[in-house]
Amino acid sequence: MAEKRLTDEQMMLLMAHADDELDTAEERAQVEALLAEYEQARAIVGGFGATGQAMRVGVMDAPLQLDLTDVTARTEEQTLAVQLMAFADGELSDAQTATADIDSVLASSDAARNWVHDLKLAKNALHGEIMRDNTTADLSMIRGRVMRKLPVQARAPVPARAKMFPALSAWLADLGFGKTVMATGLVAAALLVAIGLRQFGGDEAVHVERPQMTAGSHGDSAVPSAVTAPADGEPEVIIEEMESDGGTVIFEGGEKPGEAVIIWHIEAGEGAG
Amino acid sequence: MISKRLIIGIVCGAAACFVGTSAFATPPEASAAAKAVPVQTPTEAKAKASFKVTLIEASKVDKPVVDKRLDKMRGQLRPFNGKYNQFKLISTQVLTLNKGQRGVVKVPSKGDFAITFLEIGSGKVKRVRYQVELPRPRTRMTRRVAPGGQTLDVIPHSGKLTIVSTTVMR
Repeated sequence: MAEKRLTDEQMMLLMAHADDELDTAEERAQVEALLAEYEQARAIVGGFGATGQAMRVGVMDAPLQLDLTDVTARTEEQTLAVQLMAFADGELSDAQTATADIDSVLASSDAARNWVHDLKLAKNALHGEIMRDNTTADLSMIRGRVMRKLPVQARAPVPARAKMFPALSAWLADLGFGKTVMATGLVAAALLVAIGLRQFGGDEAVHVERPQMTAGSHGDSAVPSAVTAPADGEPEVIIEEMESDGGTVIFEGGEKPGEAVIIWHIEAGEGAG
Repeated sequence: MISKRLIIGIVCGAAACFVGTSAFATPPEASAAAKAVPVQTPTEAKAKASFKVTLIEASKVDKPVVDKRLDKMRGQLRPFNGKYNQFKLISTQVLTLNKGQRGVVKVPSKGDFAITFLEIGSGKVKRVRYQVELPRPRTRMTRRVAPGGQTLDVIPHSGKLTIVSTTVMR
């Protein structure tokens, strides 16, 4: 039978309890009931309590509240606490784990071992409870949905590539995407677009490789001018905005009047030919 | 999914209209593949734009073959000549869309290539602003293209290329 899940209100109550912010006897009684009933509640409170202590150590430079006196001879308490937190989060490499002598610390200290255990439990519980909805939400096209709501006149002018990419990357990084997708382009003199989309669950970069185009892909005079350039001298094709949630998009051509803009849509695992 | 929420219509006569004005013959499946979804308001209904969409398959074979119906596009296909020497016309159709309307062209083994006509610019050059959607990799792109402007969306798959040529008709 599936374990009962905590509600959002119950989670908030437990967080308040971990921070000693409960105001009433009724709230405290509710917390006691939750702790008695839910393993998940105990893990969360334990994790928050330990994390809170470590944060107080790291941020406020206060004395470490955890009883790590049996291992403090090896290293500074604060350094050890930070290392244990990183270890619990899976952020230490094998070499770093060995350097920090984490195994010995855990073997010799019940407090450290329990703390790491609680941190892991809390991390898993938090991920399951709080992040579950976020990780399944489709955020891939959210920018486009927002942009479509804006009238053209209200949109900021498209900046040059050098300014655009960091801004987009930072914006997308704020959304929490984890996979990088690159798009580079040449659309006449209009703009070069480069977008890094980050998705949950991945952190590897997808390399952008410009397809090996034959001579003549750029401005070959033999390309017939089936169309004429606009009278204002601007390019015929302007890419106003682009979103992609995978693969690579590459722009070619369109540099001369009448030359078609070539847009490659390369799925992961496919070559550009 | 947008497609689930929108009512599917069919742009009848688009392909047939193109047959009368182009050297390209229109395969019978072309008009059936062109679907449009009306979402415009009555006040927006006057603005229309036409897009000529040509599907081409490029591959590498022993003996070079270029579909005779692609003679007018030899120049545009030149960039691909190095690695591909067979070019087959899959279909050609014209999507005439009202403002806000979405037209769909089936791309073999890849899904739908969709165009949504957004508006016509008010500047000196009456650029047609439209959105293109491709299924894999899922891409959505808003373009502003001058009348006569052409884009080639190239989708590599299994050693071949599917080339979707879109020209904004004058």
